[in-house]
Amino acid sequence: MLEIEDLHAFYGRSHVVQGVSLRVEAGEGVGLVGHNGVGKTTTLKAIMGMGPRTAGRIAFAGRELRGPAHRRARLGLGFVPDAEAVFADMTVEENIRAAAMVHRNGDQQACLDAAYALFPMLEARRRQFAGTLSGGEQKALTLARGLALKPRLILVDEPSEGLMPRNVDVVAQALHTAPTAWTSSRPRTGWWAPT
Amino acid sequence: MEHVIVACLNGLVVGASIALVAAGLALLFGVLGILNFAQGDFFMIGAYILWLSVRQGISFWLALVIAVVVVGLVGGLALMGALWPLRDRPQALVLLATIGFSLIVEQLAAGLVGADAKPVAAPIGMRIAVGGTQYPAYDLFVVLAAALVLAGGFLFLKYMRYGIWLRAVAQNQRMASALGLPVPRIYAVAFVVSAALAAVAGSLLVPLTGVYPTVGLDITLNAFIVVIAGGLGNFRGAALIALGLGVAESLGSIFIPGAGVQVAVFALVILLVIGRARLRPVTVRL
Repeated sequence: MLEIEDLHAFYGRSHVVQGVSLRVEAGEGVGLVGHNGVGKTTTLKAIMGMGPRTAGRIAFAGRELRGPAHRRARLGLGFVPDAEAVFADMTVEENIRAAAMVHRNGDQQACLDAAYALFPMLEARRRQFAGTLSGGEQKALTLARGLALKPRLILVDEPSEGLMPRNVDVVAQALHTAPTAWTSSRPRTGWWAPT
Repeated sequence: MEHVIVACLNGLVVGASIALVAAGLALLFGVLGILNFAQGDFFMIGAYILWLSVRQGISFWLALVIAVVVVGLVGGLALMGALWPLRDRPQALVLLATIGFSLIVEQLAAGLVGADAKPVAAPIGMRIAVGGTQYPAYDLFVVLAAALVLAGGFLFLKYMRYGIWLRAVAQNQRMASALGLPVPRIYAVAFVVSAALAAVAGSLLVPLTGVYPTVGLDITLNAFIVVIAGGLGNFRGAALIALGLGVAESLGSIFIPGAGVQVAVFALVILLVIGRARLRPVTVRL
């Protein structure tokens, strides 16, 4: 489903990702593990077309990935970043709707119901501004919003970073139910391996 | 008492038109971080299109729709075209480009139709008795229409697909893009809505002020003050402060002679800005 061949990514002169090749098949979950600064997040951003200059080949569902992030997302590629990702001055519900609305004929209510079923804590706060949520709740919201896009493949950056152990289980459960998942995590942060 | 009511009504008319222009400014700044000095020119072009259409025998109301649609689509997209190549360049360049755009449009208007003020008759001639004063009903209609348009803008930002997306892009453009939101199209909507809001104000006010090439200048200055006081990007704040400013100026002129009113109003605005400086900056908020 996702094929990367000899991916290089650069920030200015700094050559951050040096020749990554990997494949993710449909239904498969793959973890990308490594120390700080080895380029896990940069790899994800390179796939999404969010910032770094890249060289190499990235193909998704048989098509070469090019162009801005929104075109890549519309091919069915979801991205859940690590930090500063919620729309802080919008409510929880509006955050999820913003993604659900990308599908013109999509049933927004069904997306909201699915999100709240995965993360009941969000339903209780659905009219609250996302910026006022706790770190764990914001993480849940970014994940719920990423899933509302109904991606065929979802890239999750640091799924367990900064979460209470109980919330790590909630996130892990949510990703188990997602169609496929590909995550990046530091070995010391807790731990979850998708099946 | 009666002249206080009339002053309040006058203030509401001025405030309503500033509110429309300011709401457009707030929207464009919130979404794109652009301080658009050409906003007053959209106001002016809207007014000219209305005047031209009425002269051709088109009814005032149809002319108003034509003015808003043409300025929104053509004006908004032309400005977007001019600014698009500058999107990753320093703010000062964008600012200069909007000033340049504004000067070109003003000179074109002066060259094409002349610098004198063109009048348009109000489509509603009725007067309403306010105490002993016969107050023109059209002025009240302007306030009502502005309130409806602004309420519509509020609902658009709150519930409609592109409204919610506009706010999302304003807050975190990279994340919005990663979620599949069509960012360039959302920018275009911001430009079109912003220009159309100025055109609504411009064409509604022609019967009160007439139209000349620099008719939008004063109102843009006032609108900038309002937008800064309301918190750049704050749609509702800009609208409410505009109404407040209009009424305060109009009421104040009863009690404070000459330019003293403006000094007092600016003092109020400065206090508001100082208060705001302690808060975090806002993007497009309701």
